[in-house]
Amino acid sequence: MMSCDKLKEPYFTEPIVQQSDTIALTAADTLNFDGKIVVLLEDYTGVRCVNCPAAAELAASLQTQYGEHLVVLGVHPKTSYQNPAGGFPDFRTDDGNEWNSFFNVSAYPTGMVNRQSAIGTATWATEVDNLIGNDAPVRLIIKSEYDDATRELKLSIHSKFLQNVASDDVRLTVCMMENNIVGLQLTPNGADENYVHRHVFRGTADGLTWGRTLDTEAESIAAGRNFITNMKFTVNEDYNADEFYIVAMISDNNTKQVLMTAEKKIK
Amino acid sequence: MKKSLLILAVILCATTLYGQDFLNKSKVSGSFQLDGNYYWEDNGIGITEDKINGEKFGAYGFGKLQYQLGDFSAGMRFEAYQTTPMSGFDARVKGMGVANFFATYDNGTIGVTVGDIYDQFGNGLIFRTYEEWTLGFDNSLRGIRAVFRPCNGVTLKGIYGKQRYYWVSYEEERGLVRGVDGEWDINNSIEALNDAKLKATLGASFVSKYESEPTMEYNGNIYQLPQNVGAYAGRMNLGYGRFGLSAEYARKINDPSFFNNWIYRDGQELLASLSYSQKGLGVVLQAKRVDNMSFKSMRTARQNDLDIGFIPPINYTHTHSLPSMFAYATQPLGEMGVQFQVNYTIPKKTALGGKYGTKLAFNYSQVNDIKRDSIMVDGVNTLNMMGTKGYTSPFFAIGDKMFYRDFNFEIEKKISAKWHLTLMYINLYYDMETIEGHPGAEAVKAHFAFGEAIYKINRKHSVRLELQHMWDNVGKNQEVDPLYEEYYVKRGNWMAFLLEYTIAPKWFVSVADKYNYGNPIADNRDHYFTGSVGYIKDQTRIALSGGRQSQGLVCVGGVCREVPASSGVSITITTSF
Repeated sequence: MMSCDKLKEPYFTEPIVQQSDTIALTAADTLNFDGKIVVLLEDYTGVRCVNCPAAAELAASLQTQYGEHLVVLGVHPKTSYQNPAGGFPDFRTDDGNEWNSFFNVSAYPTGMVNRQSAIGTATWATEVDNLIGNDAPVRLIIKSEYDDATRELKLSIHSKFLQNVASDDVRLTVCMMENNIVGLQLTPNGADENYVHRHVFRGTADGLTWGRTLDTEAESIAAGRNFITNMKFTVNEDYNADEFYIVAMISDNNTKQVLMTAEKKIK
Repeated sequence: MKKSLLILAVILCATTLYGQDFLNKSKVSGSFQLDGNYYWEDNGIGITEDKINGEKFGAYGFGKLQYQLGDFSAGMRFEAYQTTPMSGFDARVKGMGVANFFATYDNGTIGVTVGDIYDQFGNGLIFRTYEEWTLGFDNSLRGIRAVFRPCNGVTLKGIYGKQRYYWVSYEEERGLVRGVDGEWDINNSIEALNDAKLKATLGASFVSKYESEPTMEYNGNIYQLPQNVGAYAGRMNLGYGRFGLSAEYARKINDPSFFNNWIYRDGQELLASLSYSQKGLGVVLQAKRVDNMSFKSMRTARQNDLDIGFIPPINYTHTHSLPSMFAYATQPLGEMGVQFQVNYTIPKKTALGGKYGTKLAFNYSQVNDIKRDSIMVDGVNTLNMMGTKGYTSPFFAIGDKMFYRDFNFEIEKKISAKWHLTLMYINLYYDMETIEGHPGAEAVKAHFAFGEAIYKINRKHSVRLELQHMWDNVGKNQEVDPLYEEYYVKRGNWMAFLLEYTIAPKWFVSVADKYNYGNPIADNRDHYFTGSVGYIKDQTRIALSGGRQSQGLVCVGGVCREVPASSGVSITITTSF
């Protein structure tokens, strides 16, 4: 019946990451931070999308231009453009698919800069450029320790607020990203089996698609507040640890807009 | 305020439309009530200045106005609750304003109401909105109701809206309630069956609530939540000659809430009643089973807040001052009960009946918990555990824990033109632990005797004397653990009297005392003296009383609120026109 949501067990999901200890910041961590915003460019893409490789090229060139101030995340939702049938790699994730439906992305490639709005490739550069150089509202630093033998990854994400953020739901989303995966991709010149897929989003590390609320009680986050989020988990055998990254973002969940992003290669 | 102006505008429009008819055909009615209390310190019963907290005066009033013109009616209720800690009202009822308003057009075939709706489907198991002044309870639905009666005996109803939550704005978080109900009175609808001996009415309803949050995080776990919770019910009323049989069964899908400790088990409820009546004899047998049926339009609601469904009590309602201190509150999470009631009048001019006849009444009711069996998941007992189905419960198995049992017997006899006598015996079992939420409290196993004599001095003057005694299982010498003293405030033996003098039809004056002489705690062996005087003229009643009020529960329809002990004077004025 339409107005009966009969649920199935299990009714709850336990955290997929474990508690962990804090990995302290070092002097170098804070000194390297220049006080400027790091912008997130999400590239909604697909292995069967002929025009997508060009968008990936564009993202790569922007990253060359802006360096550490731009983080790129290639999101593969679950439409026919990402269907792995026929030897294509399967980069689809539930999280990516939920983002895709929430932001109503229906054409590929589509991009989003700090989740302001879904835009075509023609305006990517302008939107990124508009934000670059702004002061960072949060100093966001990812600390990690990776054990090659056990594949255990420990994370400490330090979020220090430098400005007041007037939102009662400020969240931290922790994403896994794998770079440089060789696999089949449709291109304007046909299928390319040696294509290098960059910045592939592998899902959120803690299973929280929209992140975790930093302070559930507060009406806003005041400048000066500091949050340390720790977790540990085992990196999936299928992922190449040598090309594995953690991307963290701080967002206002009411508007979904991203305030600050950070990226960390685990090895 | 804007909304009441809107109603006024509607009324004014009606005026211009109907012109001269307005004065002749429209009808305005209303009622007012004002309750005022003035509290004072009374160290004898522990009413200290701290407890009163400077709020010595409590006043509660409402005014109801209703306007009717042909098929159109509109009305509003203004409320003002100036509560104090002593009044025992939930602090959230404090406030004033136009609490309710409505406008209805109903031509007999089609009816539409907008505004605040009071209605119920069947016995109210899955939908009942009502207002109870003495409890400070109001769960009215602000929205729209449509009623359609396509032919004789068939009524279809639809409702949609949000419930009243004290004075919290309707914009604030709480669910939407939507429902439909159909009732078919077969005899009324089929002409050939109009006079059939077998009378039958069938009904069915469906109610769904919507809340927007699909998940909830608690202790790091992510809980799925149903945004739409549906409940449905079917009912029938059969009558055959002097026999009547009625039953209603309701079911509700997974509805995890604060109240049920976030379990996902379906809820169900059955209410059945069999009756027989003839001149001088009435017999009623009722049974009820309730399993996880708290149905509220906000998952995090507590106590009596935002109830969509109603659980009818099937217990005798005691009105005498001693037994009414131990009234039963229905248990939405689970209860099984039966009630058997016989009323018999020994006819006039028989040996036992005497000149005027003798009325006898017997009532037995008992309510137990339901039986709950654990569900083992991977070797873990998940009984009532958050985020699980909670338990299984065999439908016909009765739980070991008894919540309430009452059997009472009453004889009422007019002895002569001047004398009228009533005698009553009550045997009560009251599980204080469950009903009052006092973990570990000893159950009350008490006997009560009640006697009342009315002597008519002449046509206008009469005297009434009431005597009561309660024998409690907690004796005067019982040792009381100092940590649990609050569980014993009304325990031990009591005696009470009331003497009332009435000058019909306008005046009455009474004095009364309740004396907890057998309380195990010497400090609690208090008298609760009260004196009252009342005046009635036409539709207006004024009552003034003063003295002590003992701690107790005020219950209406199984819904209760706790009233603390207090001392002071109170005035009640009611009037209607």
